[in-house]
Amino acid sequence: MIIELKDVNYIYDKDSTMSAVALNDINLQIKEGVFYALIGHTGSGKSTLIQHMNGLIRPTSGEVLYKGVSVRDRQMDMRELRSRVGLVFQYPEHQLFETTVYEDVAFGPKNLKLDREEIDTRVREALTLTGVDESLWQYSPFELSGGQKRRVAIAGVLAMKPELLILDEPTAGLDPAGRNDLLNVLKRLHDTEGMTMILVSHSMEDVAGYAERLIVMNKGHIEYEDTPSEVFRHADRLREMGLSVPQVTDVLARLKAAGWPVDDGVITVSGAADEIVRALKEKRQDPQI
Amino acid sequence: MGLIKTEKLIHEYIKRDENGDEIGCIRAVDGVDMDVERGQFISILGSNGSGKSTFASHLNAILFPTEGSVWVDGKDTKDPANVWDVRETAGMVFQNPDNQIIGQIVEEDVGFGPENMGIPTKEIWERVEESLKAVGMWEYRKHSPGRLSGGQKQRVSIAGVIAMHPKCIVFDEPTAMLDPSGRREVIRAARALNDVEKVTIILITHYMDEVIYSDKVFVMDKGKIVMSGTPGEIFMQRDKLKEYKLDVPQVTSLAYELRDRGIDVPADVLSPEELIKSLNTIYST
Repeated sequence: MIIELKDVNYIYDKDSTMSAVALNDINLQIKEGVFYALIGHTGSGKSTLIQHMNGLIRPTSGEVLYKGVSVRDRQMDMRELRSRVGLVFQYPEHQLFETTVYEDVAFGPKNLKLDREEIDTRVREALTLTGVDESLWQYSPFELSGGQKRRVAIAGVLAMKPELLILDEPTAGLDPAGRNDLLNVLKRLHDTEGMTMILVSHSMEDVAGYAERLIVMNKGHIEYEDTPSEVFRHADRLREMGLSVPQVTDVLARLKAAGWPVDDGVITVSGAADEIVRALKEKRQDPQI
Repeated sequence: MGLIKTEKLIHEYIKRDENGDEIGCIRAVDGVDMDVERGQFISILGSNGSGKSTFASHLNAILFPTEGSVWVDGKDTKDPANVWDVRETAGMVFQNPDNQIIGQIVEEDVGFGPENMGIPTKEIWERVEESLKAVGMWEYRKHSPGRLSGGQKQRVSIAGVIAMHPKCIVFDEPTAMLDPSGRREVIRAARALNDVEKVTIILITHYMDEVIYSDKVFVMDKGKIVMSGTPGEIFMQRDKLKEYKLDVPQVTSLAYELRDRGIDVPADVLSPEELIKSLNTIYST
């Protein structure tokens, strides 16, 4: 287990008249090597939650533990924590500032006081992993396209060699091809490098395609923490919370409600096609269904 | 001539060095002809860098053509005398909800546009009420915009534009930063404006499922229009869309796959409702 939150509460502006409870009684375990997705309506507490995981925010009450050690502990090395838990905010290209792509990615490792060779190795690895071609490394980051800038920004975090990578809506503003490319990069990092992932997203289809476990937040609480299949069975409840389900799951849920023998926990296009084909065959053999 | 017309529209971004000398040039819009009739709901799809936002910015005279022309309600946008008329006719809603709101209170923000148009005070308040009701935000009129959700802020931005009674509203990726319910709210507001008030809508988006209600869809790539047609016609051409780095709504993908397996659903299914209807018909035959 990498991160554990125990009875965490967070209140913004606690002692003022504008105080607002952002996190309410959060208990959560983030296990190593798992690909999580975090969904929730705007204002549900997602950003507040993820900022607790790398110690940017400290809880009002409760404990945040990194590998069993409290984030508040004097022995906790915050720099170490933040290189192990990488956090990529929304529109990460807004963080780019260096004169070249290479220098921007090198910034983090330089701050870790690593030697030149090690920095170079890390920068090369990170840019290669995110698919930024070497021909672009000496360009100014601001000359790149939006999608390319985004990859450079993510490479900057990867160069810190995090064990846990948290990304807040990494596909926001990207076109369909850009979204797929980026999500495939993340999948590769998870599958081949064993990185633990937390993907904050508003796209139910993306979440269904990539995540092993889904955390659903609602008004500062965790409402569900389960596989996407199981979570997406609760279509009505999800809609009440301002969310939705993948379109194909919606189709299956409605067919099921109309009496078709289909499983509404299926979340992919080919899975849904399987269900419908099978159900039609069954119905043809036994019109009583 | 339709409400919005463009002819051989070209827009080039000139790159200059510190001395102001030209060192490069990007042709973002490369000869676009478009004619939008009054009352239509049209969508423009395109990958990042296709030129769609640059194109949209010509419609309310934020950008001016390098070559070619744009007419809004018959007025040439290149003529400086027409700028304010153009901007009254065609309003614009942008992607980032936080960048468009300036009032401290919702109703003040909505009144800002009409106030600048020199409309009498009594009428301003009437318009504010009518616009906020149109987007379902009237009960928030005394609220501070900073505390609203993304979808609510976008609706306030839309109200601010409606209050100027434009004949046309251009939405430039209005839902990119919103959660699913926020996205639904904004698209619902746009459709209501079109259905009920007959406002011409031009929607620019990446989300395939948002364009299914359009009268017509245009696909842009490298500054040109490369596909045009009804949503059904466009989404039947999945392979071509993928070439242009786009896709089809997930439910349309499901229809494709079912057809591949011999189930005779229509190829131009756009919504879960349509697919279910057709499956039920197949079952009962």
